[in-house]
Amino acid sequence: MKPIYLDYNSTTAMSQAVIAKVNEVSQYPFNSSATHSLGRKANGIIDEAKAKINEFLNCKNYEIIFTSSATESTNTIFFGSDFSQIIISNIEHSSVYNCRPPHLKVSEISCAENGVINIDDFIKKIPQNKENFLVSVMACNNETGAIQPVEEIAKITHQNLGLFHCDIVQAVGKIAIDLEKLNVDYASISAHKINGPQGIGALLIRKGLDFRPLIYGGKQQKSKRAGSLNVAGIAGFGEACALAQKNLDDFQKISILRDYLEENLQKITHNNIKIFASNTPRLANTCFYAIPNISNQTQLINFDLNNICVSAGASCSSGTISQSRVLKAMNVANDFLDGAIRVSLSPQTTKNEIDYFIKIFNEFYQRTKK
Amino acid sequence: MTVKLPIYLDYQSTTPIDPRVIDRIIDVMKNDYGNPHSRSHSYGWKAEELVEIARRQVAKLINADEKEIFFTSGATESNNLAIKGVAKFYETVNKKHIITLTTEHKCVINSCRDLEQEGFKITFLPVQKNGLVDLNVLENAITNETSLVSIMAVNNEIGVIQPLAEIGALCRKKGVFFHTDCAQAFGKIPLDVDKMNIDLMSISGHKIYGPKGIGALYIRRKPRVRIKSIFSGGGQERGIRSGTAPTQLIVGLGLASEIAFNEMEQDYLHIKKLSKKFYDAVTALTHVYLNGDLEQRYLGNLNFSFAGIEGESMIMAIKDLAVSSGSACTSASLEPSYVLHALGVDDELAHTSIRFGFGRFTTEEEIDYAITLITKKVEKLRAMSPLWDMMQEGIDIKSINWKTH
Repeated sequence: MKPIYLDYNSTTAMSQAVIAKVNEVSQYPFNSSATHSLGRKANGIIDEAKAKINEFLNCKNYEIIFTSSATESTNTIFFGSDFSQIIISNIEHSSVYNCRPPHLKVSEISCAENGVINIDDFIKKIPQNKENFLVSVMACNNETGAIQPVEEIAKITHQNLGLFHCDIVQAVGKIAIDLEKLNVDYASISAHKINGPQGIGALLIRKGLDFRPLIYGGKQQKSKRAGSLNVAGIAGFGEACALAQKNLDDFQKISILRDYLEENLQKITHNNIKIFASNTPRLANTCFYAIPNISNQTQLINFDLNNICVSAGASCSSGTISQSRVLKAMNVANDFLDGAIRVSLSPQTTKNEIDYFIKIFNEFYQRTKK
Repeated sequence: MTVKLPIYLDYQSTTPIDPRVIDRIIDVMKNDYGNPHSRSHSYGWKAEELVEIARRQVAKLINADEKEIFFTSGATESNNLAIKGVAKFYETVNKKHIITLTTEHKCVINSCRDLEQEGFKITFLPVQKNGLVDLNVLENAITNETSLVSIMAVNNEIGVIQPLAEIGALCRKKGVFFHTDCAQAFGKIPLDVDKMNIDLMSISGHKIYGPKGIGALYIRRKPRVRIKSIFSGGGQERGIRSGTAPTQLIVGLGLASEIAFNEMEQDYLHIKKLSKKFYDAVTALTHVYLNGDLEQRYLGNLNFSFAGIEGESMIMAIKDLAVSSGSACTSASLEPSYVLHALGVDDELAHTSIRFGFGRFTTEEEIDYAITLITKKVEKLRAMSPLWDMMQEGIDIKSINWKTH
């Protein structure tokens, strides 16, 4: 039996069209810096991908700088600008949370029990009489799926003469993202979360804003990010954006299956279960639950034995399964902290697969109760 | 026999991906798309296993331990990480001096320039007329404050091979770390981190018939080299390099490394044969100069200057050949090559320099076509050139071309 993949927020399977695109572009030795015809063709492919990203995120007033990952994008901004201080939320992905330039004060915005950051606390953290501070809040949380009020945060940031960075990694392809409307100054994005290839991401930066490069070298990307461009990866990224845009409405329908899953989990446990961020707008595909006093390790082993792929939260931290920093930030009680599991569905997830998950969960739950 | 135009002779800029590597990448993209850092399910474990296999394949090619290989987005990132990483770690023990060459790749030079802005002392050593470093000059440049010597293995523009083993021995004797940018050397010439006393090595995927967007940095464990990372985040690659490791690209680099390990001799013989034929035919045109040492060279790179011809008109005349003048990263601007300048090549000849790069997939038919085309065009352009007339009248332009600085 093929494993059932319910860890879509960690990484996604690549679309056939994306694979075909990567394959097609990989047939040629494209270096976009070369002066011969292949160099020009490479630039054409890159421009085409940029147009698709632009169309998808409405970012024509932004420079698109290709990077190797969203982690790199975020590091580029945090380390490459002269901010007076940095304000982040305490539920940020580790690529933002651990990105702390040593010479800068970093303060953290707290978060409410529903997984949404606390705007009042944000306002308190804004430095007085200080311009050019950076605020970084993610559009959607990767573990709970909770959608954050970034438009409002951007507005308040700008009123106080700060700049706003948004980690949109988990949001793109799952909810509509319009950079102009959100009015962000910088955004980090990754291709492999939207059925694109791993190893390619982008930094979107409002035109007119500048930064010091993180990686020096040749004059690629106006000297803002040196290194031969990953032309095949960029082409795949563009293709993935076009598909994600087309499928955005369908993506919302996943919530039917997700809600069905959650109803069943509640039934099985007689409501002795916490489903995080369930009373606030969240991503249609994400279910982050916890059952008391049954460790996530035990649950994960059982799911794995039954060919189900889920996770205990973010996958990229230390490689060990520990308590979720996000849940701690939400003040989740200790009984539940150890028993949290994230199930993230994809548009390809079927009802049969969810029924199988429910069956396995039920058997396990009845067994452990005895 | 017909050949497909343009003929790709720009193997230093990038290489075609080996079809075996493409097939493997596509296979991984279709079937093993897990996040290698997912520790809770089979997709993650499978991806991680693939990453670790690739790490061993890369390590094997340079006689390193797999734990000494860290994946990056490419040689540019590796060079930045190695140079800034060592500089910033050892800064705390008052080692604020770095030595490199004026002929290094832009990413090494600009990493050093960036450090210079931050108060580090950088020595850019000149090279000899043949493009090689003078070991005595290097030895004299090393001081008590030197933390790192960064010298590339194979020059990207002119193909000369620096004496790595001698440099490594010298660095070890003097107690400084030796970093080498092997973007153009890895998989093409034999490299052994132990025999050559290499402490850090930058590796690229797309220069060895692998994918773009992937590279690696070798960092020696014994004696241990410490570096400060340039990305913070999830702490992947044992804290050295955060960000999701791209499984399919890593697998591609691993397989490209394995193929290079198995077929290095075969590639070498193939390239040697084509290179010799091309060299003989082009130098027979007279007043054509090979830039860089003839012997200490990777034969897949022949950089010639054509006297008595204008550079741009030459490029236009041979546009059936995909070639570069100077390195690809700087060629977009068409400014004279700083590498040739460092060799003492005068501007006139630097302007007419063209780099011809051959590789695994270059055919003899393509070389024959290139030779015929170049011969025809050079003769035609020279017939039109006043410079050429002067040379024919005995005005010795050559004597002023090779003056030393």
